[in-house]
Amino acid sequence: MNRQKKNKAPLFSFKNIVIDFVRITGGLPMLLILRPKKRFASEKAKQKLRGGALIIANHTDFVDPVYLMSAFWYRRHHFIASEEVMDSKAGGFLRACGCIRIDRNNVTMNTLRKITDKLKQGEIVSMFPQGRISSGGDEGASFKSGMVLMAIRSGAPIVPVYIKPKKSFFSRLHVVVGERVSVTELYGERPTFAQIDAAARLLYEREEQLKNLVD
Amino acid sequence: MLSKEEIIVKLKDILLVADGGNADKIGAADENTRLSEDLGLNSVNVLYLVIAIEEVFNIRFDDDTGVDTFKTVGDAADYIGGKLK
Repeated sequence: MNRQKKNKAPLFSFKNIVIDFVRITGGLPMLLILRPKKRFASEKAKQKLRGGALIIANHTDFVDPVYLMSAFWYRRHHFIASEEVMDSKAGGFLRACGCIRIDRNNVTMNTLRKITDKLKQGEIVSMFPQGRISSGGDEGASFKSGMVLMAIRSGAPIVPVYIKPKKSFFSRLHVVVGERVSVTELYGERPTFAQIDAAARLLYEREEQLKNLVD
Repeated sequence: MLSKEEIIVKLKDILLVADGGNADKIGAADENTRLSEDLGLNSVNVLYLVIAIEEVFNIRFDDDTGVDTFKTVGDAADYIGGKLK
């Protein structure tokens, strides 16, 4: 499978005009309101994200994408959103903001290509691998392994992030950033099905460790 | 031009590399073998298979190809055969 070239996302592109407008006009107010406090699992995790990377996070609130954007304000995010969200009235706006629609029951090659293309272009793709908002005791729902396939196909590292659930939108945002995981370095460019599942479990365990650092 | 049987053999080779623990079932598979029910492949496994097929057969699947496109080994072989023509 193809390895990722160390591409740098373009600073400006007409394709990204809406998402950049939202980032610039909404970014500063969000930083002031949320006052994100970032912790890191290790010194290695402190390295700034450069080039393509797949950010994964727990999902307990529908505004989690805003929290992730505030935590990594210096990068443009392309969120993977479910068919339910993208087919709603907000779908057009979300598409203009760079969100990528995924049909969770029938993932197509088109979706996979869009995601891997973004990663190969040096962009950040962010997703919530539990596949839905988890709350009411099922916060520990396991990760779906599709993210591993995206990372293998693009060669991009996966960055686990834990977002501490907030009591109110205006309370301070706490996130913990883990060390990036390169699936191709761990298992090569053509891992087995068992290794793909093992990578998903490893990322889930890393997420649990991040949770313990802040709770 | 590969025959359907030759395509199935190559498909089984891909599956054996990816899922060596399931070698008995894969070895016994024929064109009627169902990918999910008989071989136990989940949606991610099927997408992995599609990616591997693109590389091995040097073809490009249509954008709307999804995890539901192929039900059996024979379906996949027919699709690949059509692309190789």
